[in-house]
Amino acid sequence: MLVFKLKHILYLFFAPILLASCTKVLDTTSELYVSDAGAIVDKKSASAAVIGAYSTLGANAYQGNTFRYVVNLSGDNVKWVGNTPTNREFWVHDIFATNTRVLELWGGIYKTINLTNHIIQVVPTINDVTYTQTNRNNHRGEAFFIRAYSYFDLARIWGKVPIQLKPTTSVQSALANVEIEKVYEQIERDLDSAIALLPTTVNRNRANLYTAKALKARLYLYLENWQKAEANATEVINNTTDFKLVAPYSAFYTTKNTTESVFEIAYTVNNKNTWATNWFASNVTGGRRELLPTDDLIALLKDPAKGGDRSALLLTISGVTYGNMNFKIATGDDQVFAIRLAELYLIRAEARAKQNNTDGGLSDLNAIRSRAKVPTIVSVNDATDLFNKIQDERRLELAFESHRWFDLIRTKTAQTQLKIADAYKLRFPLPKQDILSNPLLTQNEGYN
Amino acid sequence: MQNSLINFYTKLAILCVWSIIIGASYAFAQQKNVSLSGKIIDNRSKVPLQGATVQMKGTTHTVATDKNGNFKFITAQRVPLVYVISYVGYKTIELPISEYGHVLIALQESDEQLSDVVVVGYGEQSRKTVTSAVSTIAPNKITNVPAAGLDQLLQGQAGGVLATANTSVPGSKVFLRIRGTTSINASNDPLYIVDGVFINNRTLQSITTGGQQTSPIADLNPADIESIEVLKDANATAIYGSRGANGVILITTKHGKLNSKSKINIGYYYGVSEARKFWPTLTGQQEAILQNETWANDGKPFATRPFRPKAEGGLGLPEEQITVNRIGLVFQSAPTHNLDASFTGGDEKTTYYVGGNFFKQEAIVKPDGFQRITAKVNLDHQLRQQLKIGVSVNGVSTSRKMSPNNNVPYGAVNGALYTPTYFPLYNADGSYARPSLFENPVAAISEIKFDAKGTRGIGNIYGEYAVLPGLKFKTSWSIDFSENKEDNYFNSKMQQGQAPINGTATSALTRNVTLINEQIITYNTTFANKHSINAIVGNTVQKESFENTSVTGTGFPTDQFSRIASAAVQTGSSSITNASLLSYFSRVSYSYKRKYTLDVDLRADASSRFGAEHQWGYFPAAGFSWRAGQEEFIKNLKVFSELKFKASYGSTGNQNGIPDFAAKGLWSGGNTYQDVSGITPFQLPNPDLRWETTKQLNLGIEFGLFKNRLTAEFNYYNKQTTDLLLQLPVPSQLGFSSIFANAGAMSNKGIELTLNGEIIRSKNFSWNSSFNISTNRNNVEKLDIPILKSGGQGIIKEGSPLYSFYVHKQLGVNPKTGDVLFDDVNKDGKLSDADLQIVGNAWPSYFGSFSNEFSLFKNIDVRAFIYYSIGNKIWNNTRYRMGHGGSRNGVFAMQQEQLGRWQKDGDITDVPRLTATGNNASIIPSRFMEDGSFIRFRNISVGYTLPKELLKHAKISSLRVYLMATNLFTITKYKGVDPEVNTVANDDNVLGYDQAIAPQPRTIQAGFNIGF
Repeated sequence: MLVFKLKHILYLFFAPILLASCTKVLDTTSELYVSDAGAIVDKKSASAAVIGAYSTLGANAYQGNTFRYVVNLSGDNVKWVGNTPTNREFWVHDIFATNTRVLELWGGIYKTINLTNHIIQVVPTINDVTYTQTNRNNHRGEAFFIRAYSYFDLARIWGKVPIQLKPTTSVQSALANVEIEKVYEQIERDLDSAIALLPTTVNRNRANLYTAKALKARLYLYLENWQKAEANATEVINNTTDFKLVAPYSAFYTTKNTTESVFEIAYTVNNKNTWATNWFASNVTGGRRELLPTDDLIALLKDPAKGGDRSALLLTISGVTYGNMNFKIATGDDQVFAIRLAELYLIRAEARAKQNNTDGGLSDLNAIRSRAKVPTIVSVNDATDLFNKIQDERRLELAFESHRWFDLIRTKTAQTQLKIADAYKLRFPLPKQDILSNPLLTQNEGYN
Repeated sequence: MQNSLINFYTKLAILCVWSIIIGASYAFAQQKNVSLSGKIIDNRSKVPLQGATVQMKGTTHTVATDKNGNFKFITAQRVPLVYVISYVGYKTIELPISEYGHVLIALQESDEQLSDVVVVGYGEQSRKTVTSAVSTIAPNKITNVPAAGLDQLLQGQAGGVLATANTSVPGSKVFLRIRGTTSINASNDPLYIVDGVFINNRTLQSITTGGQQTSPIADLNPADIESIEVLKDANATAIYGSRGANGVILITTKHGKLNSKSKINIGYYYGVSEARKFWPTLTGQQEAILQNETWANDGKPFATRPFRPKAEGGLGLPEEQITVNRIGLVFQSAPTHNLDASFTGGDEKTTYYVGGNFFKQEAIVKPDGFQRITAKVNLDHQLRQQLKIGVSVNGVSTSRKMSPNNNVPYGAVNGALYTPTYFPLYNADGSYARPSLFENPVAAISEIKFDAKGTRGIGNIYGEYAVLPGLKFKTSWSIDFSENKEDNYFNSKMQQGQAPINGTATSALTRNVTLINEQIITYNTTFANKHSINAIVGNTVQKESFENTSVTGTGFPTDQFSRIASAAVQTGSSSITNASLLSYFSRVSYSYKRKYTLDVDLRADASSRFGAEHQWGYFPAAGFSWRAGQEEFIKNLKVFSELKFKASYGSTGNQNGIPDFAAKGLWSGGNTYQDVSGITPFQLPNPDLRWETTKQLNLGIEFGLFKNRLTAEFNYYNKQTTDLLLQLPVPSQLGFSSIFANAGAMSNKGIELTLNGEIIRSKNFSWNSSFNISTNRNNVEKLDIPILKSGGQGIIKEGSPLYSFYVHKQLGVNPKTGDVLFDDVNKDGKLSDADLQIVGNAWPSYFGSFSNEFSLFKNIDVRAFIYYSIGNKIWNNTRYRMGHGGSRNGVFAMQQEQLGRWQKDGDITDVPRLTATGNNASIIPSRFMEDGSFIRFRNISVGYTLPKELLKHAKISSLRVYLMATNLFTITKYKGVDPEVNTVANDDNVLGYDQAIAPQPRTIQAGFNIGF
């Protein structure tokens, strides 16, 4: 009897051990994530990766909020009325390398780049008969475009940055930063690759041939390659079937995907950004009210001879004038108007002015002015006069679209216009955490 | 002669007969059961003790005494054997029995409630021989204290245990560290074990309230607890291997006693809590003057100063400003109710304990509150002589009223404290005014709906089989199931829900299920009366899953609708994660003459969280104790009534706190663009990820003087943690910010001293006192890349302790200019992040408690419990936000401290001139780091136990009534409202950060305990 019982007890004892010794219990699989190896394996998952790349491009850490916040605040169209010292540093041009938003943006951009690197490398090797060459080309083309777009932002904010072109699959050795010229060369190469691969069909929320050409026009504007800037801008402007300026001015941002948008980063209620919360006070719409238009900008926009229809960018509620371009707090779907036709007109105007084609330049400028319902300019004194007028126009036309800071730097007027004594402050510091984790990285001059 | 011969032969014959009879009976006895009996009495009163338990050592065979104090064994056991006799309130004794028959045993009343055995991992050991550093906390130290969570009650009760309440919200997580912090990214919370079952202490809160978290430990009813053991050194914790690095808290709940009369105990108390201190805000007029001064200091035109006549478009002149006291609106006198009832008893085979608890506490800041209803049943039954089974069930239902509380601008305290006082509370149309960033505090407390309902069931069944004398086998099966349902709703009158959002609601269900199966074989034997061996071997299989499903809705038709079904836009999400742990463990303990004891432990654990090659970890430990007091040469000194030296060394592991799939390279979905879901890389793989290991040395000495009326325990420990589990920053250019890796090392060294004294022991008056003091020196020994803590002004850096504050050091204020003088560390003439430095840390230099108990005429008891923490620094971020000059654009109210600002040449002050520009405004200065030392009168109580004669007629066996004050007063120089503070409770690497948190309440309560 005792023996019989003992046996049972022993079974009871050993059963779990035997069970456990299979160590099956240790093979757990995530239901929420997929493994690296199973990530991009066929057409469907490659398409999902491309969607993911747009999603990271538009994430709050990058285009969704941080980029717009720090870049607009660095210029002179937006003033800071918030309360977080971290944000204030951009407004007073006294940025510390420990600034968390610097790290957030830097990391957000490289996250996007890493995903494009994955797509560019893996797509050609996928074994899936339904995945046609055209599909593959389109996907890689989009990845090249997004990568170029990302490096462009890195270069114009920080200058010297590392060029990472391989997907990260494990902790690999980090790279040193390279001269800005090299970064611009890489952007040009990526755009060339994109142009060779992308379709001509226009989808305003995804990269296509025209998006790449438009970005190239901007690149050449920054590189002061006026001829190529003009040529690329013209290619987009000449596609009048797809691209037209819309009227009134406010139509381009009150409606999604108008004919004016060349590249518009899209948001929906399922994919929100928090940009709008920075603009309005909590008792108006529940925002944080950290950004308001500067008094200068308000005066310019309200001047019928200068602002015209563009005064729609302002809204005055009980004595406070708010910027009224981004107001979708509830739905969080204020689009990023990354590239629009008006910018291309202004790029071409500037390129033409620089090539002493004042007539051509003026006609492009007047295209923008007449749409804004401000008097057209009949004549200019010379190319410099035209150039200056174009810059004034850019300030108003692209007021809240993250151009002002870069335009001031590009035209070498930032220090005087923004009263920045130290030239080094025209570039942001590299994030301190990265300086600490990557010994090859050199900090921008002045921030050490 | 012949007579004498006959006499001799007769005697011989009788002797022979007796010999035969005895021999036969011996032989007979060896084949059959014999009966052993005895009687147990009180040594002083000689009153028989009913319900005392007598156990044959090394067997499960236990009997209890009847009402006459008698017990009887019918057993196959043979002498010599050892009885283990225990009875509540009396010293447990072990009595060697070398003869059959009836014994009279007198038990001595114990001076303290503590029994002489100490519960250790998977067993019990004699307190006298134990080799480990184990602190025992008696239940009377923690019952009836008006705190919801057991973790909070541990404060000051044991050396080396640092406990800090994070918030005044009842049922919230407490910062608890046993012997320092060993880890950066893995968990630092100790392991909680209730009656041998691991219980979950990971919060089930999924809707954030801004840093604070609910605590699953608040699910336990303190009144169900018989004793708490805190295992601290490696020898005690290595048996828990991978889970023991942060120390172990072993909780033993109450069980019934065999053959005891059924008892009913009912306890109730009612208390009222209030805030002790408020923030010193300014009047509206003062605010206005300061803002105008900022304006002027910054060289802006007088004509457009903010506080100019309304006719000129301003906010009105300073003297026209009103002062609205918002803070008073959100605080309340908060009631606490606690009702405990328990039923306990047993017959000769079965014991039971049934306990119930109702606890309801409101927070001093509206509208938070916590309510708990628990039922606990412990049932044990001796099924056969060799087989014992038992079941333990704990059912808990909790209900919380919650609100966004601290860091968040839409919380009540933020709205009340930070909104400048000159703003009106309501708009002209009667709606809530929200003039700056913050929520209207009245809206925050009265419009919100935020409930969390928790359900928890902890169940355990076990069977214990005595295979052979001394050899036992036990199998145990447990489940810890907990579920938390949260529903919140911010209606359109609130900041978060106002148009165009029109109400936002979230509903979330979180579930944690832990299944554990455990087998243990124990073997106990004593031979030659001096060698005792205790050995155990066992295994554990554990599976855990954690799931969450949540739905959010926005756009409600009216404020009457709050359920998501009525929302215009509905979005949902669900997630799950799971892990398993497989372990084998063993311990052998050998004791010679109960004088020299040696323990050896080994545990092997495998965790699914690590790389396939690194799943197994082995954790050995050994401990040795020498009761020198038993040696003749010490006895001859006639000084020590007890003297023991002990030493232990061993290793434990840590794997808690890191994600379940931390070693794997993963991609995530749900990265939406244009309503299509995309994938992105989520986590870098690290196949080398392995256990974090802590090696600990403990050296201890215990002694007793004056017949143990003064006892002392002193321990020194040195903990070295290597292979730190770390979210190691990687260069962002890789597309990731960090990777889970084993990088770095950390050390904790400290000493603990505990003194207990019966200072006065007389017939009508007694005074017992207990004092403990602990230190811990934490240091990051190795860390290749310093980690900056965003917010919290912190850095984790090699060569410095955790919880270091990293800011620009303020040397003073220039009396000429009114500008802050900063320490230019690299002397380059400008201030940059290269001039940041560590200015202090949040670790106390030493901490502990001082507790006194007085008893008068046996009826009146007075207790005073004082907790202290000396040398800890606090980052007072509330003061920083409100005292940082004019840099806040009038968004934050200012504090009275601003009135002492620099105003003119020659002013000597540490508050710079008001300005919104330059370094005064940009740079966070060290002046907001403060000394957070404090001495707090945690509890003071007076009780009266009614004389028994009085109660006899009412059939009441005992009745005690008492009054208690908690946090009556605090001695501190800290300028905030409470030096016991830790706002960023959801980040394990932040301590001593104060941000708009309500103080620990002062509570006055009255209660009674009645027994039938």
